[in-house]
Amino acid sequence: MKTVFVFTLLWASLLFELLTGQIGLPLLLAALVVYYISLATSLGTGFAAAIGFGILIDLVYGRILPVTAAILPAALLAGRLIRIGHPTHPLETALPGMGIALCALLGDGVARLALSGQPGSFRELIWELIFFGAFGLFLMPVLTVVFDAAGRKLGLAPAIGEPKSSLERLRPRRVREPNREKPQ
Amino acid sequence: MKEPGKQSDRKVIFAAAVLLALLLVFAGYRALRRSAGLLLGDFFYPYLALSQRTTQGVSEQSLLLLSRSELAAKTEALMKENSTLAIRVNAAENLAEDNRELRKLLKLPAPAGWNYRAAQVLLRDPMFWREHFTVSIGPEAGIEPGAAVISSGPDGIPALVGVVSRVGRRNAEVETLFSPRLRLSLAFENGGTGFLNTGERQPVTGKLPVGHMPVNLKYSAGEKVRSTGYETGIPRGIRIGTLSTADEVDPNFSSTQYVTGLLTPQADFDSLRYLVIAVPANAEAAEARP
Repeated sequence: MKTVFVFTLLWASLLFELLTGQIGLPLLLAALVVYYISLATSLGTGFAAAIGFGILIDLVYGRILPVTAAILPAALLAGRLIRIGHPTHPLETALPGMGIALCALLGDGVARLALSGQPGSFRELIWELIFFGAFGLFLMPVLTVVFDAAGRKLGLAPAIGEPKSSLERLRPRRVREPNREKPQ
Repeated sequence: MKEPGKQSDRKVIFAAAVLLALLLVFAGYRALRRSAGLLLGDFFYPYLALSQRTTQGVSEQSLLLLSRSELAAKTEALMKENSTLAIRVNAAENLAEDNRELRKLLKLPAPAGWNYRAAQVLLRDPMFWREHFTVSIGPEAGIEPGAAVISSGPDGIPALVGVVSRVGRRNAEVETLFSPRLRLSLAFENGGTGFLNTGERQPVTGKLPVGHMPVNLKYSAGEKVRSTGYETGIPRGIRIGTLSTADEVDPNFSSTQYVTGLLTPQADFDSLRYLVIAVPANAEAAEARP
């Protein structure tokens, strides 16, 4: 069931990506979905999905080089580096979401600079980074909540883990003992 | 206890396996790119065509929202435009007839005839927005690689957008004028010729480099640039753009043979939707033959 869910998410994001590509919007949702998959399954599955999905997108667009197959794993890595541990609240995915969006857009810009005959506008890229960075900050927690809810209906483990109780903490809390007055 | 030698061996083998896998993936991508692109384009056709149908439906519905008097006024305006166009077509046919007669008298070969097939933009790559895109075509359109893709701009003048690079069953890929891989001969108003995307000039945003322009001719900014007809799939005289700048070199004091310039394309590449693809008439006749 988990595999079907992952493939459905990837398929939907691919179609969405192709439709938004028609109006010139850059790659964003696919990178966020891949990050969610890496949280819900494992990092290895996330990287495999990122590379496979990137190759598929590049093939559909008929690009000379598989640039998306490099951009998506880089964005995933950025997201996982921003938040190394497993998130315990949807809002904890906000910063990785922003990092992923920024990384994907920067990769997009670098690929355009290296492969395109038309020089892109640096100012335009800055505005895109600001807007889509903020968008990723907002979108990633929303996606996490929605996908987790859908996954729960299917009986799958959510990406957001349960917060550990204080007894399970690795380090015990330091308890300061009240200063006792020294006996004179 | 772990042996350090064996552990480092495993690491080397793992790194080599990863490198080999990446190499195989890259080689597979390069090898399958041509066929897989078109195959996937056909595969995604129903989904992408769905968005086309939706937008078309919305525009039709918005037309139905107009009142009867507004529709009548629009129909009347279209009828007037049609009659003007019919007169123009008649004049063009007369000119073509004169041209054929003159060619016959001069014993020149008959000019190539063209038919035009309508196409709609199906898929655009946001990363290489202006460089290539995919159009939907009919399976029996008879389009071949190298065919000219033409769009009519806001002023109604047909302008060259690019050239068909690959053809699938239901879609075709188009390399636009902005693609650095596309080399095209150009004709200037002053009688000179040049080549698109050649020369030492670097492309500027929204402008294309032109090279191999003979130095002994005078080029002026705003000069119209058209297709030469030297390429088999591109009709002669299609507007490509206007010359923005050209090098000013005095041939008496320079040993250079050619100058370079920059061209502003006529077509609006940001809002391409309906296009026309040129098909040589004799190719169609050859296809129709048993």
